[in-house]
Amino acid sequence: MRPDHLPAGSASLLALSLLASGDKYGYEMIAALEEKSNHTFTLKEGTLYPVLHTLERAGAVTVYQREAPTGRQRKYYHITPKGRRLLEEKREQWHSFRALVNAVVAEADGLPAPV
Amino acid sequence: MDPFIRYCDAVCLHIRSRTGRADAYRELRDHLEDHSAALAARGVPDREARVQAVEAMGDPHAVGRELDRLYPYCPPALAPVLLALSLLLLLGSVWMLWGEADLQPRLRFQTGAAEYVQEGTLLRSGSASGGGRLGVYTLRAQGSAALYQETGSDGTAILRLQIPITIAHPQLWLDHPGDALEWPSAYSSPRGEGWYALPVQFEPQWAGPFRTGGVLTFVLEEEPDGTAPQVLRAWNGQRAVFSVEWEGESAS
Repeated sequence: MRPDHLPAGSASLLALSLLASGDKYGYEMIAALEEKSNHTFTLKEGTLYPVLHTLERAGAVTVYQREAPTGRQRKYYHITPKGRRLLEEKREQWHSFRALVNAVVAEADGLPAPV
Repeated sequence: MDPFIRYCDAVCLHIRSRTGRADAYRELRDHLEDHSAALAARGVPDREARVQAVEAMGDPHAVGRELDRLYPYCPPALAPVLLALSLLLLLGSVWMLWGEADLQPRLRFQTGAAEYVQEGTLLRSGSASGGGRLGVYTLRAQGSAALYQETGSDGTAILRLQIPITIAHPQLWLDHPGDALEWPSAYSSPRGEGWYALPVQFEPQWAGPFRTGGVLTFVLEEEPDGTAPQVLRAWNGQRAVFSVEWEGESAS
């Protein structure tokens, strides 16, 4: 299945996670996402930019220009310390959410809930 | 039309901010070029790569609406209005700060006639008129004048003639009139006996941007005779002449 609709708030979690390992430009983030998910997960690429711009306005990322091999100027995104703190918050929220969902699903399956 | 241009135009259709449109167009165009280059590197024909790159972007209208929310927008016609309002607010704030520093605590920000301040025993009242120009300030009598009698600490009678006036000053940056004008207290006797230097005070009661209102108080040695004018003379020789038509008396 190719989900093309992410749960609310998870797009920024993905974006920050991708930037935590290094600065990236837009398409590079999409390509990294596909690679990490073994090409089972794709995102409507245009939706990445409202997420990145929102993070920029929140001070979670900054931008700068660097010359691409083609000679064109590329816009790179860089995660800030504030962005890293935000990433940690969102990771905790995601883990809590995942644990809750697992517990509910396991119970629904009639299996004992994981400890 | 090139699919990249069609996609970027569709997104930017929803972005009202000119800066936002330019930024979004450039960034999305770069993304499409990068993606189609990556597809071409995998052997996808150029035209097909461009189509696939656009399809991967998703709904341009949804993206455009999301980006529009992130860019502040001010309608072009509103910008000069907001600028003018900001300047007026700034000028008003500056004026209020200057005014607050100079004017007395009981100052009321209103327009209208000043009211005389009752001190002592009211002897008589009447209609005040006259005025004059002292420097850049224009003084005008406004309202009812009143003559009071007080008893000084040494038991002597003190007469105070209070005339409500307005002082107009077209320049906003001028000092408060009470400070800027030297109040050489002078009045002329109707018998032409010359000038007598006696205290004159101005007590502001309200202020506007171009006018100040308050009470001008002449301290007199004797009761004014009929409608004899009270003359305020400035250091440069200019005069403001005030007359009072006392109630119960007719003008001579």
